[in-house]
Amino acid sequence: MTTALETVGLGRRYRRRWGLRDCTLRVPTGSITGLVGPNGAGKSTLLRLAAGLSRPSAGTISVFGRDVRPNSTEHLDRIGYFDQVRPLYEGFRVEEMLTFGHRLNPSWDDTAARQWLADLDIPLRERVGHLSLGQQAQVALTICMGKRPDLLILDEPVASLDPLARRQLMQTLLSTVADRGTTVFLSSHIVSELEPVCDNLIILSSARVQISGTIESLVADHRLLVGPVAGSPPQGMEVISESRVARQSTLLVRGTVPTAGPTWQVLEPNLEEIVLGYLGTAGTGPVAPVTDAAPEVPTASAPPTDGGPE
Amino acid sequence: MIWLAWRRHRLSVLIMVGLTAALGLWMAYVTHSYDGLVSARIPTPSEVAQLSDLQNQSTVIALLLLFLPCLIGVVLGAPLIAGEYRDRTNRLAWTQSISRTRWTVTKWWVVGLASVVLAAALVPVAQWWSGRTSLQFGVSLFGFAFGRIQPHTFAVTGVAPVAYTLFAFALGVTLGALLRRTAWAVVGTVVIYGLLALLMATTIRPVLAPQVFVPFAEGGTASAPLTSDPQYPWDLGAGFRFAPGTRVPAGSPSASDIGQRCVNLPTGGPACLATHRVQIGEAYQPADHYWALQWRESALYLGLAVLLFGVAILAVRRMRE
Repeated sequence: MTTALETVGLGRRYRRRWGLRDCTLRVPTGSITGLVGPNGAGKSTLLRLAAGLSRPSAGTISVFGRDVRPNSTEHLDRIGYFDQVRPLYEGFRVEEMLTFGHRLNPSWDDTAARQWLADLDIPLRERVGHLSLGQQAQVALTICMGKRPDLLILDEPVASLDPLARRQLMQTLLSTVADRGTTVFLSSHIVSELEPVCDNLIILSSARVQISGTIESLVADHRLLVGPVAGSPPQGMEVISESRVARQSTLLVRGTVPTAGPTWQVLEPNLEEIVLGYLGTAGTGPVAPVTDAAPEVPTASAPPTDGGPE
Repeated sequence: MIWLAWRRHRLSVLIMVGLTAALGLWMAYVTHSYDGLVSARIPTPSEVAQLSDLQNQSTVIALLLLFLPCLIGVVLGAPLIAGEYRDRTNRLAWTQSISRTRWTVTKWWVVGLASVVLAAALVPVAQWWSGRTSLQFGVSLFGFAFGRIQPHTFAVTGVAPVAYTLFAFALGVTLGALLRRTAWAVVGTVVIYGLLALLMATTIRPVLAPQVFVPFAEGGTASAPLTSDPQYPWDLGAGFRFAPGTRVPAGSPSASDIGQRCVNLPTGGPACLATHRVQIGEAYQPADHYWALQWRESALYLGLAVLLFGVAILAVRRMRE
């Protein structure tokens, strides 16, 4: 399997802190790879490095086997980049944004670009600044896809869009990349957005990669163990995170689970539980036990951060 | 890319075209009115009042003309790159199939050319206005000074305004690219442009061509062969020099050092000057040095603009989001 994007020990240092650190990962050609993590985890930093907007402070990053160098048109020819702030020339008409794409990209597919916008009923004569957020996102995506990239880098493409606009945008995206075999590397801080569309997932937190792999392998490799707080859990497992609510303890573990005692229940986690487990571990190790503020609340499913009833 | 550069910046270019045209029309109005009033007959009191009004208007025009290159640089240059950073549209442009270098170079020359054309278009109008009215109006604003080599006229005629404009534009672009804030680039451009213009007029321009030195006659008054010239020379003030034919040994103090010391002696100033063969007199740039000074000063400004252009390209290439 060939590699669209590869990083080795990649780091980007801002003045005082690392925006991204020790990042080693691989995005296979033709895959749709999701990058998930909380705000400030380093997702945008990684994607800007991939787009050539930034230069690494440490390590290397390559796209289709070549080091990413800003100012290299060879690299720029192959990528499409969608920034999270969706910068567009506000005063331009939609039609002029197409002209922009056409004039700056030798590989521009004008017919397809016009077709996408027509399908979405986006008026070509309208000024970009007057469009709705969803329409602006569609125009930005059209510019990215119209240059026929081999690797699409999308930073939070559906953030701040309403559910209908989200679905429309993902549909436009997926139908096109399926036809062309484009590799897609997209980020989100919401797992449920990525789960239905991605083959691979990379979990990023506190400027570091926590884990990466195909969605099936991630689910297959992890188990949830639910048991009493008092009981000691089975030994010899890699515990990713532990959370305690009332008298119940929930562990996210990786790898094979040895036969657990009768007090422990083994469950298959969903993707969201895995991601939350990893985000909880970032930096400080397992989540500290939650102090039970309201012991009289009997249900184990009460949200742990809620205080007792006042 | 030329299309993009023009489309992106045409609004501010057109605004500057409008402002420049308005200034040109104003000069035409003042010059035309002036021509109508000035005639052989003695002016009536109401005509005198009108003349005085036109004089005030010309004073404002002169100030605007001096400031125009800097204004063009600030309006068209400062936001050229800093404005893209503000809107984050550099991220859009830099991920298309075009190098940052080409992006910068194209924007620079398209908008820079527009600035230069604007400045050049106003020069003939400014020359016509100043030629007709400077004898009348130049006096009030800048003291005793006539002719095109005088600093206030020199700066708005010939090729210099075009060079100033290109320099101000380049300065605005580069400060914007380095500081990444349009507002700071504007302030920096105004301050640096102003200081350099001052330094140029007071210190650099006087030595860009050989000065003419007219020694004071015995008794200490200036002889007046140059000031009787209808094309008035640029008076650089009193100074000292070694008398022609003096052999100055290497390492000896300069003529002005010796001159100052001699003049400060309680007695025997003239004798001291004569001993050291130092003359006191008035230094001038004669009016026929106008074009030499224009071209040399313009070349200096152009050189700086080219240097700034290179710095802007480097700054954009090195910019890390």
